[in-house]
Amino acid sequence: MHKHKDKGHPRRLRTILFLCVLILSGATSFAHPMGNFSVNHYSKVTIKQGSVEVLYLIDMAEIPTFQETRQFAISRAVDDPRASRYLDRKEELLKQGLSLVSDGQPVRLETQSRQLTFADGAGGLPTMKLGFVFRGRLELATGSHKLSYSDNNFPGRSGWKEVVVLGDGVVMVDSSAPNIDRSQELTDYSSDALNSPPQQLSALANFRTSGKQAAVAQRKDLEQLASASLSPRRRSRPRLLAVHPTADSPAADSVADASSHLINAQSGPGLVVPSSVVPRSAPAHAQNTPRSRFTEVISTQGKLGLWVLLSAAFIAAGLGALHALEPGHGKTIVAAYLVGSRGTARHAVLLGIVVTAAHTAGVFLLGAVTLYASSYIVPEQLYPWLGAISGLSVAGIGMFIFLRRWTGENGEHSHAAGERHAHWFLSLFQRATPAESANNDATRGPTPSERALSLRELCILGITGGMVPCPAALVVLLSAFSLHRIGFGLFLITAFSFGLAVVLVTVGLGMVYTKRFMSMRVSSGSPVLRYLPLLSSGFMVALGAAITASAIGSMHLGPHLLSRNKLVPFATVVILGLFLGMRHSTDADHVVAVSTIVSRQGSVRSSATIGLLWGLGHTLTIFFVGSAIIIFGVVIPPRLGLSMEFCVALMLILLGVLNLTGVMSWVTDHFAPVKRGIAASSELRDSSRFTELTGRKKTKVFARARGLIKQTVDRMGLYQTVRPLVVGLVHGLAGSAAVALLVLSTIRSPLWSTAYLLVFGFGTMLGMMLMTAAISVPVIYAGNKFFKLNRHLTIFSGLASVAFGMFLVYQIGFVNGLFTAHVNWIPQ
Amino acid sequence: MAKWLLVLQIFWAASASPQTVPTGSAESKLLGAPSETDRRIRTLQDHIKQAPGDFAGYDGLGFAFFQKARETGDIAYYDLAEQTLNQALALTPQDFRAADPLLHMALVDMGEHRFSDALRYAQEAIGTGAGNLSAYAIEGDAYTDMGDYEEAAAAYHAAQSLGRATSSPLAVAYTNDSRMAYLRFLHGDSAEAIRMMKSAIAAALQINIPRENLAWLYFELGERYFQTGDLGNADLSYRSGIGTDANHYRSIAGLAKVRAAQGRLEESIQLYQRSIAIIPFPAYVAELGDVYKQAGRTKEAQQQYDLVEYIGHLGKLNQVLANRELALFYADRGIKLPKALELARKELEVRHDIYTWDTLAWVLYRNGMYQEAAEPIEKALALDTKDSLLLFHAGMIYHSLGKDSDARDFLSRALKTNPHFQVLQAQVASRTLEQIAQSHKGM
Repeated sequence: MHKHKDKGHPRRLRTILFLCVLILSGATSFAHPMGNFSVNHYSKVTIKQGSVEVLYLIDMAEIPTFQETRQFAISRAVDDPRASRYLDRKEELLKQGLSLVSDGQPVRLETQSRQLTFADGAGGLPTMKLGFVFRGRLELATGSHKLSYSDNNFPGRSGWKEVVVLGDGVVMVDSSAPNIDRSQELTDYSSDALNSPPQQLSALANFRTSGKQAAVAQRKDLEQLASASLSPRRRSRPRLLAVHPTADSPAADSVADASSHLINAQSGPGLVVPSSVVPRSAPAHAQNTPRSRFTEVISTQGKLGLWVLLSAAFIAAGLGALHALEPGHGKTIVAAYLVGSRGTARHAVLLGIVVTAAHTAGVFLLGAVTLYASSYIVPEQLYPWLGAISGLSVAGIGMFIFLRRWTGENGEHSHAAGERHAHWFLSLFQRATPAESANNDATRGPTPSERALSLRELCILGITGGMVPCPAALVVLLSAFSLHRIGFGLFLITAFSFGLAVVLVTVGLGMVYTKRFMSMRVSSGSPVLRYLPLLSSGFMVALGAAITASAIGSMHLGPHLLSRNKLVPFATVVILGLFLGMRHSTDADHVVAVSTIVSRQGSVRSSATIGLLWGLGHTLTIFFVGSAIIIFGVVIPPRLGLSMEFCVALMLILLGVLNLTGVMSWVTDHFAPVKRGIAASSELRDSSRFTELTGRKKTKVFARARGLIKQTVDRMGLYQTVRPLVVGLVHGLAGSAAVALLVLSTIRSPLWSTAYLLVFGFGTMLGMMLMTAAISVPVIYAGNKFFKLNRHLTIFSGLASVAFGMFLVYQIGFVNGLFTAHVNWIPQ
Repeated sequence: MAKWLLVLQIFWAASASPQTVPTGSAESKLLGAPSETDRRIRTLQDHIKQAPGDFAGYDGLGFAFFQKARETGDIAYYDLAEQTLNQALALTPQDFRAADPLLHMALVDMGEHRFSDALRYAQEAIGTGAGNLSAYAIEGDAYTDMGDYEEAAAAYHAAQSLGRATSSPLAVAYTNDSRMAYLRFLHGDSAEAIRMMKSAIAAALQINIPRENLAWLYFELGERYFQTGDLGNADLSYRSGIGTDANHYRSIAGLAKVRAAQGRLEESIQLYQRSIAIIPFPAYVAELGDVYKQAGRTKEAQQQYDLVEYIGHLGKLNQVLANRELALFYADRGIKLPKALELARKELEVRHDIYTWDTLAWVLYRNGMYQEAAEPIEKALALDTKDSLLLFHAGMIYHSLGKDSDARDFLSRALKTNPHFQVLQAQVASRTLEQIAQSHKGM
């Protein structure tokens, strides 16, 4: 073996994860179930394509733990530097005792991660568990292979000796070791006469590799990546259990209730020395909690190369950007605020930065809190409260802006002294001339009062908008802390925040500029602009309320608490359903779908109508399907459920393609020799969109004629009415089952459940209406006046729609397995 | 969060520089094969799963667990053995066929130092009328450990006469001679003890018994040789024990004791460490501490002593109240003397063999209760056992009582019997002997 390598740095980087000891219920603690001096072995050998992974655990009972801690002067305190050196030493020793031979060739094991945990044994005396993940490379041709494994550590010492051999992406022909994890990674030592502690220290396995299998394994990886990294609707909870991706290890899932098995574990009652043989609840989680995938990754040995750092930073920034695009986060609020308050570019940048700073600070703060108070506060309990606070603040600010607009008080922008005491709508009308104010801002800058106010508003809004930290960021930070890679963690968080800031600032700037464009063109008398600030502040109130409601909902207080009381259910159902419905309308796929429709709408009113119609369609499906589920107990089979969701994906693609082809036809029209004005071109756009519906590209004259016809049908024409309605219906299909199930789980009464569904649908309608209106405002005016920009917007929304649809197709079809044998549908 | 982890992981995996596997000729050692006892356990478990009502299967499995407990020192296996044997007893008809599970139960109780229970089960086994000579032998063992030497001799005798009538001479020799040998040794007839041990081993070699049992016989023979100061033969015996069962921690510790007596302290330390790595038997840990101390490595010595105390503490947590080894250890170190006294007295409630009396006497002596120590030490010497440790204790106690002639007699006999009986105590013995000689010169 070549062991003259690194002495210092990489070793120091390779760090240990300590886990504070858990909960041994009650005051009584028991001796180690395997006897006070046992050393228990566990090896899980996972044979993969190209590599073999060995999860190697050594669980020492009280006496060996005492010997080791005395000899190496280590303590169970977290952050004991000697523990790291001890692990260095043990790692080498234990690795020497392991032998892994593949087809007669010794396989060299590289340490992937390692850890040391302590748990209470008899009388609170410590027991110690060492965990390593070793990996060896297998360079194997397609065909049959043989792998032998043996563990020669602690020969002769009594204990639980378990070897598990699994195949992942290879075909296991036979194996002398079971593929069932009996002790669940040395957390459950239950045994009886016919199942005495295993005494296996070696294994011989025959397996086959084949190209097909390799492809399957690769696809599996990809699917996991895709499902975990991109799905906005299926946000998976933080995976803290190291569940191996092998399908044939059912035990891994039941780790959590490992201790429950202990009840039937034996002990001879009334004997002289019983307590030492009573199996105690072994540290059920001690081993598993810290072994997340990320932990394995972050503790991967070796130096952090420059490009590793760069790529990590890149990914972190990308994820930050994605995070910013998730519904319910700063983006929407920033946009709404800027639209409502005539923000400038400076405001947009500032707001983006404030949100990011607040977000980063939130992560750090929560990280610090979690780190130092992890024994008292469960971070998951903190999120809802933070969410509620930030939701309330957002709603409050929205309300504030709304009231200010409404009453027209605080004449910060009324430059004509005579108009100061004008009627509210007059002053509103006056103030709603952003070109003027923009000019003012540019020329003389904000007045002190305005500046203070905006800054304060900005800060409050930014802070509240960014207050809820992204769990991903928090986990990264905490992992880095616990892995003693604080610098690296901070670096990643910074990169994450950078990505977040870029998106937020871009969104803000986009809003500001589109608004500036339109405000330069729109006549000051437009009623739309007069109501726009009101609308956007109303939207903010609604959004804030929705955030609050969902936060409260996740506290598990709301529905459960209130639905019991016979007097309040009505209020509960109405309020909660309304808010959750509104929140629901901001789901990514909804936004994408609606924006494709809205991006080419003529007016705010018709946009809002489209939102309303969409909501109506959505409500209809949800109500009928949901009622069927609730009242008649219809069970939706996974394949049908997935198919319903699949429809949404197809529809998104269709919408996107329609948008894009519409643009394409516009392009062809544009290069046609006929000169036309802006109005004509917008007409043409309409007509070309109509063209795409009817089928292929038509002649220019035909399109123009159809466009004219359409204009007559226009506002509330048949097509305009039907299209969003159908889209909404399809969308309702996807969500209805989930919503109904959710409702059923909280509200028992069918009557109230259906009532809730109705109100939920109404909330969705309202939310969608507000959103389409808010989205359409910049788009419409930019579109009316600057068709170039509109074209970009249309292309963009079309592309986004197609991309998102494709992603959903992939997600539903392959990851969730609509097209495969194993359908995995979890209504969310 | 999961997206984080996975994306990062993929990048990480991609960035990890490929490590080449050394193409050396690292031998593919496939140790860790299950022991014969493990195999037997597996076979019997499979058998019982096929035939759940087979009491003989349960009995065999229970006995295999007992054997496993003997080999590993892991009391968890005693518990499994007891469970299984209870199951066997429940299934077995209440006639002579119950003899085997009953006597195996007696063995388990012996292993757990529940001598009266063991005696009861052994007598029940005899009472079934199966004519099982092991039942008599185990009855004798229980009597021996409880200090009832006459009853023990009677039981062995019964086994002997029964065996002559019903069993092969080899089986009788194997079952009985080792036990009789111990009784002979206790009665001061070391030469006869050694002869009978050899006979037992000769018989054992011709019948198929587990390795561990054979190693045990070698170890016992080694002990007898060592107690007579015959280091060469002791060395040979212990090494035979290790050769028979590489994990026989007693034989390894025995060899370590010989090495220490020969002054080869480094070898001794390594052997003790090997033994302790298998089972941290407190007596051997303490002996290792003594050897460290002898070698001037006081820090390591203290570590071993601490470990013994820790094990004792664990024993207390496990409600092991009687513990004469720990009492002796405390007494030797001069620590926790009241506790040692308590432990020794508790042990006396369980059994009153000469070693328990000796322990009590020695603990009383170390507590300064010299007068009280006189009676127990007399009881300890009642059989005229030629064990240097007993003689040494007696010499020290009589010295403290002012009976210097007796003291000189016992101390010189201790050193004559085995000059290296204990690394540290042997020196104390000779020093005390010199003191006595000088004080007498001065008079």
